[in-house]
Amino acid sequence: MSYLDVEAITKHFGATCVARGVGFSLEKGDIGVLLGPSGCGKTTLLRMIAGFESPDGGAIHLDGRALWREGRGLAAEARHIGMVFQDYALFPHLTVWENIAFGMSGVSRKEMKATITELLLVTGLKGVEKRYPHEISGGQQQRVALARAIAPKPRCLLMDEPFSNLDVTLRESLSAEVRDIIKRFGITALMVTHNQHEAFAMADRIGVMMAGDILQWDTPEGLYHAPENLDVARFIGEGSLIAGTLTPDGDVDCSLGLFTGMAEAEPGEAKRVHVFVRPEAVRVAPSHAPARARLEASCFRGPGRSCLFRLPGGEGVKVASHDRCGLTEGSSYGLCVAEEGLSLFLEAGGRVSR
Amino acid sequence: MNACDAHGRGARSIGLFQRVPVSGGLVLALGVAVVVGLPIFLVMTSLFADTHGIWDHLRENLLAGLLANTAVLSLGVLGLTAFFGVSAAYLTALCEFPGRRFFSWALLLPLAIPTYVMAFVYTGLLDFSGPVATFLRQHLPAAAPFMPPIRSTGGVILVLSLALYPYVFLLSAGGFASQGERILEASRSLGLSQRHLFFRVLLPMARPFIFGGLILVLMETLADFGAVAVFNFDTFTTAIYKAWFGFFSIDAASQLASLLVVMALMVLTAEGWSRRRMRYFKGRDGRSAIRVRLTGHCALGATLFLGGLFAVAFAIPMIQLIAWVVEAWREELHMGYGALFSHSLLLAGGGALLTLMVALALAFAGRTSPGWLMASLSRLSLLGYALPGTVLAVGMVRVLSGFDHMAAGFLGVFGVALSGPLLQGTVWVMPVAYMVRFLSVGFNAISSSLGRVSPSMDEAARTMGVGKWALMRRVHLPLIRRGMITGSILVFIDIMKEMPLTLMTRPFGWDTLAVKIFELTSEGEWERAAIPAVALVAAGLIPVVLLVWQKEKVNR
Ligand SMILES: Nc1ncnc2c1ncn2[C@@H]1O[C@H](COP(=O)(O)OP(=O)(O)O)[C@@H](O)[C@H]1O
Ligand SMILES: [Mg+2]
Repeated sequence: MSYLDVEAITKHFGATCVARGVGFSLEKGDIGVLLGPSGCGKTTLLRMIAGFESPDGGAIHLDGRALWREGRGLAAEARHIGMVFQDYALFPHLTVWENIAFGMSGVSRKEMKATITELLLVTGLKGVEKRYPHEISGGQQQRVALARAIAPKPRCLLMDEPFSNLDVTLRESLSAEVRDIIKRFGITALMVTHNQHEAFAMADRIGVMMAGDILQWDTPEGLYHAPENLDVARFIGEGSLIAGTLTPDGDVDCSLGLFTGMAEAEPGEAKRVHVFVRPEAVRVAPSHAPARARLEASCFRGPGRSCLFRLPGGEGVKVASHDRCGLTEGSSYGLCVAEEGLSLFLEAGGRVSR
Repeated sequence: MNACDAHGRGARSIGLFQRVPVSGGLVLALGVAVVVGLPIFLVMTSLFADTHGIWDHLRENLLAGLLANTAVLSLGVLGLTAFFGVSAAYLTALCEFPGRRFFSWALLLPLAIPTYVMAFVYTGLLDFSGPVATFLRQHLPAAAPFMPPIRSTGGVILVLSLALYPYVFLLSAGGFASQGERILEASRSLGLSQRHLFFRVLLPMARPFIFGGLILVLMETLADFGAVAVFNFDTFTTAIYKAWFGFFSIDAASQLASLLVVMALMVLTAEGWSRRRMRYFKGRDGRSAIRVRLTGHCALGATLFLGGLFAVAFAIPMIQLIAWVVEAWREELHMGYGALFSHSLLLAGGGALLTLMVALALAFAGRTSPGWLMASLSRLSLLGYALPGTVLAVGMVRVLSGFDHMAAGFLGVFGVALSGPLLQGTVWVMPVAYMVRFLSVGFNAISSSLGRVSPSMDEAARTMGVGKWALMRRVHLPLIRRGMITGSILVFIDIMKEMPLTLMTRPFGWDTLAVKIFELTSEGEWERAAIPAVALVAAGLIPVVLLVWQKEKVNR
């Protein structure tokens, strides 16, 4: 059994189903992220782990102990799970120091002082410990919330959209910082977000969640390069979908060219498939390339250009071009595709394995 | 797994492990709702009771007059308070002229003067034997016959309006001020002149707020007992008092009261409606509107008008009161004011304490077990503020006599005979009566500060292993301390000023300042009534000053 084990959790609010047999597991010391569009049930799942909602079915184990099993659960205050709330939920009548010390019971004064001092140092809050929450900035409040959750040495840390109240520039720098802090204390953490940049910046494991279900639980790389179904592929990063045919030999024919050995040979009819191409897998090539397309739009993105090409059949292809020399809109170019950057999906959405 | 099967089972069985705050809060709220609801219910049922002809007598001789008086009084007071309140609010919120800052808070001060004090000051001042009339007869005999009599319908309306216009002023000033600069600029750019702006934009947008203030005025007018009693102007409240203490018919009093309850409930419905509208209209777009600078005649007119209003509604009554106190205090001071003060403080303190505790319990119950049942129970519990004190007094007496009856019957079974009533006419029921009447005042103060404690703070504390009681002690109580203090001050002062409820439920000998004022004014002893009145006004100034401070803080 893994450190945090969530099995087949179901949950309804009235007639709406917000968890349909969700399951995943997290190893000790890892940071997991639940990523999904708003309203898919992430917060509810997190609150069930924290003990604020009760699942209708399923089981949750943490460090070998049952938090929830067979319709019974441990009270939230007995679970030893730290939580960082979306609105931080700092106590306005307590100073930064007192907020951090709030949950630390059963430790000596000396130990408490040492822990808090270390936390203040690590979170860069040294010097503001005597201030009240309304006297510090949003980013600082966020770190106080984190320090407060870590201070009682929880078995696991939960974070619900911890960066959503911050402005975009702060989000990026803070997410890397928060990952460092969590790793430094060796805490197992689970975060919830709808922002994939945050997810990639934080996670060892990411679960893509949609409509109350985890579609794929994987490493960030696995998620990006080997999405298990069409929904995940479309949700994570960018890409283009092109119609193609899978022959019984395992070759794929589509308007980007013929790719051999894409699947195991399987006797039978040729099948229609979706070919999914990441922008960086496509290169603008000399004109003798297998596919030609007209440049419809291009937009400067700093490190390169983001281009939209139109194939003769009418399908669009997004391409990340790194050429400094300009491409003219309206002209035709050759496109060359790296085979590893392709994913195949059946009509029903499932992945075709190689 | 069949998810639908599992649904619901989990929710119930969580109780085995976790303390789920299901019934405790609801049971408590139910208890409070019964205490508040029972008097109202008994008053309402009395509509059909048999009163041995007294009711018929009342109906034939009085009812039409009472209804007409109530209608005239209400309409007159509404019209006059709307005029005073809205014009003062418009001038102080959206114009600039000499004295504006002063008037923006000073015009709230009359809130500290109870209506009955305002009433007796003006009757004393303007009566036939008063100083003004005497002066006129001596020095300007030609003008004397033209002085309008103060003891008239117009007089009551004027006096009540002077005491009550601050409600309209306060709310509509808020309404005017919340109309941001953007919307005014937009209107100007659409070509509206200042006058059109007022009638087509400002007034319609402030209408829900003005309406809210007028509803409060109407509630106070319907409930008023002391002022109309001074003027011998018969309304339902005085009729209830007379039916009970004159005819000794609690049934006839209840039947009159039930009519008043119907009116109060109608006003309450209107109030709920207006509150919803106010929320809808609360659209600030950052900066508040730039004030229009008045010049020349306009500025002078504004200053004089508001100065006159301030003089008539606050300065003159205060000067007159103080003059009377100076005249009377030597003879009066040995007359046992100690007992009056201590009774007032004791009752107000006890009532405020009880109200505070019930309000706290109700607020926490609402937090721990929310839901529609809880919401409707607490709405019922807060109904008391719409009920005139006379009605509540009648209702309480009915509840208590019913209870004593049952208790006597029950004890009789065991052969125990009671020498007198257990509860009725004892001092112990007074704090309960006050609690019923003023629960909403305390509750609003507490629940608005408790509302600022977000649910996630509770959850944060629980993830850190903090239990329910520790949560209350370490998080909730420190955060709502100010609300608790404000709430109890407000309730304390409201109880001090409350006249009919005290008058009709007090046991023999438990006179308070308000009761003393009633007794002295019914004998025309204005000078002597001024001493307790000044004490009440001084106490009443405390919440008004708090209010002004709050307002200034928001403005800055
Ligand atoms: N206490 C509740 N009662 C009823 N419905 C709820 C409750 N909490 C959440 N929901 C519903 O469950 C769904 C999932 O909500 P949530 O878990 O907050 O999604 P997310 O955090 O992914 O945005 C939403 O449709 C929401 O309206
Ligand atoms: Mg959420």
